[in-house]
Amino acid sequence: MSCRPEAVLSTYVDGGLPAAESRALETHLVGCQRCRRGVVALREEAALLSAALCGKLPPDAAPAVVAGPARALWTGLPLCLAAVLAASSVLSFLFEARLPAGFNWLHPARLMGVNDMLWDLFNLLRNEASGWLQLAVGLGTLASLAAMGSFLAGALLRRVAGSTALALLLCAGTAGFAAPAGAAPEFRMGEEGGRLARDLHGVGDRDAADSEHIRVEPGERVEGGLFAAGESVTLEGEVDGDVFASAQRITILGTISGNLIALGETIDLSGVVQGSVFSASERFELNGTVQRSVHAASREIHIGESGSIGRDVSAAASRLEVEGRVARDLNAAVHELQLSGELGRDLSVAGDEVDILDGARVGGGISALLEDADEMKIARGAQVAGEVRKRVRGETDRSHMERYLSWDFYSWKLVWLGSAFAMGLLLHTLLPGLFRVGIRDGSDFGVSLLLGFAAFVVTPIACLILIATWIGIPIAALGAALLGAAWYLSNLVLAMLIGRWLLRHTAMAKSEEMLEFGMTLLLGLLVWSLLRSLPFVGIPLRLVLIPMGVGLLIRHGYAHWRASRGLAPAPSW
Amino acid sequence: MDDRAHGTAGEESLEAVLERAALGDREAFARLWKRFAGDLLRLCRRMLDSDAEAEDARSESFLRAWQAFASYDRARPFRTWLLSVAAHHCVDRLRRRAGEGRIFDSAELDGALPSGAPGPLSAALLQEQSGRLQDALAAQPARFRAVLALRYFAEMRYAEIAAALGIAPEQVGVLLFRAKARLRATLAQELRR
Repeated sequence: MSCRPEAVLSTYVDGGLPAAESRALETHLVGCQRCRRGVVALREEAALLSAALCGKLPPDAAPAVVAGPARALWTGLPLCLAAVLAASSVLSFLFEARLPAGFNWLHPARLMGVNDMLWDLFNLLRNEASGWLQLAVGLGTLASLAAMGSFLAGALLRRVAGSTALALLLCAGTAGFAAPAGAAPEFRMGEEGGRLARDLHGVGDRDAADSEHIRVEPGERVEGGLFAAGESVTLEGEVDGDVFASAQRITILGTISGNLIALGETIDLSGVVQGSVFSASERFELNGTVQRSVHAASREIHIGESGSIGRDVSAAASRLEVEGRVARDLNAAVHELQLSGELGRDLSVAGDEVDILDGARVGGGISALLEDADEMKIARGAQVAGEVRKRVRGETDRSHMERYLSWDFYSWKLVWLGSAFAMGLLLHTLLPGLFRVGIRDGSDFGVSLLLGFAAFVVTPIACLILIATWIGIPIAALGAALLGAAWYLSNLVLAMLIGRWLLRHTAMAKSEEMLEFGMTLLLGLLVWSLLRSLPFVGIPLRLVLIPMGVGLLIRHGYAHWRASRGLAPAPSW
Repeated sequence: MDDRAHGTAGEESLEAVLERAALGDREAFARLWKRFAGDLLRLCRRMLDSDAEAEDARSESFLRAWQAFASYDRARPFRTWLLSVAAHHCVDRLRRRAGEGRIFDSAELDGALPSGAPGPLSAALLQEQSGRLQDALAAQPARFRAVLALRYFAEMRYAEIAAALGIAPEQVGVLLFRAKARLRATLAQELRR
């Protein structure tokens, strides 16, 4: 017996088929997955029709959602408050406690050491085993996206409760971040309020009368670290531990045995930091010694002749001048780089103007990503031990085509493909509705495209504004992460659209069975990763289609949100 | 589904009430009315798509059932029988409304089935959009509303539906299939908007 038309299956499901015919069909169903699926779907539909006609279906909004907000608020609010309280008391305990030697790494300030180690590992891998690094990055990305996905799924499952909790956590996080600027009693400087400076273990409270200007006098020694914020922070003495400094002007003339984490307008480091430096500032002047690495973001960074860094420098700056000595690598994203000092290993730079001046010494090679190949000048008197590689941004000449010949390129594509596929399957399990998006006509495409572009313009601007307010930084970070996740998800959605289209419109599959999720996604991903890697057209394609996908996701999310609240569907826009 | 109104605790069983009704007990009819008035109204509303007319039709069909109670075959569920009386009555009303008396055009039923009918709507989707499902149901032509209500609400068999609508039993399947296909199309259009 061959497959029967849907009308027959429908009659069968409704119990209208004569007994003999019913039996014949049942025999056929045993061996035919397609008809079986049809029957199952028709039965579900019939059950729903019954429920709808008998008035047993709930109205559009699920009851959980209807009853949700009030209940979620009452349970969510105390829970979030409790969580924040617990977290802050654990943190303050860790700050205050003198932990036994073996547990020192638990100290929040010490966690920076882990950061240092990760940077070292990163540099090592990048230099010695780039393939492994890519694999690790791929897997890491996958894991973090999976974590994010399951978190989002969890939040969505809890719907209102989840989003309320999320919003409250965000507020709490923001408040927590803002706390050092005036609210946290453990660090407050005293009567003057707002400025705080306190030795982490309660040693050596600063003079309240001069609380705007925090000083550690020469010869003074602060044990266990320092948290200092004010108009200016001047450190001439010695700090045993890490220093967190936030001030308009930060001057370090003394010695810090741990790391320096500094936020300020001007940072002047002429002393000694035995750990690493993490800084964000308008201007960063380094004439002292940093025994480990420097990670800095500034408009202007100047490493003077007497400046010396024991490991690597990673810098983002408009202008970077290196006259001193960097023992290992220098990674820089800059507008302008002037190197006249000494570099132990490689220089990798992305910039507009790169000048390697007379007297400069580079122990390794130089790899530069430039706007224009002529913008890199290497003086005759400069010594570069290794190879100099220049790449021009957006270049599509031979060197660009060469990437298709490298093994790295394909291994990276494979990692991308594998992780995207796994991610797609995971998301499909957690959020089956996600891949139901589709484009029906030109206006759909156009609207999604516009929306996607708007998201890519508005979100970064909003994030920048939030960052400028300082306390908005966590929200800005979340916004940026969301945009990144949307960018990634957009790839998956596009792959799904492509896969579905291909399977529907080619001779490859006429049956519904072929339209199974995994199959469609894999085919779509293959084609999409091929398309996006094409020379000349790949990048424009990405620039158009990915925002379009993001737009689709936004519209889908909005429609879902409206439906989940029992609102009428959004007007077509 | 069997009779939903099988006696609940503390209440006389449906069997007993029917027993008394057969003997012409007015109070028993009052009880039956209380039990099935809701279902009757729902079916009439579905079929007639007018609240005021449905109220009328409910009273009238219950009266008819009372008068025709002797013809009720105790082997069948009472609810289905009662609803089929109401269905007959509603079809009469629809015919009167249509003027020329043929709302179930057999020529149309004999035509070829739509070949590209969309597959069954996904249950998950329908569950999410039950409000739209109700709207879409209400938007169907009378003959489709009637057949869907008789099959899925009154839970009548094909032969009973055929008798109520005055069509051949083999046409019931076709009519149901068309009704569902059209409902899906309406919903799909609705969801696209």
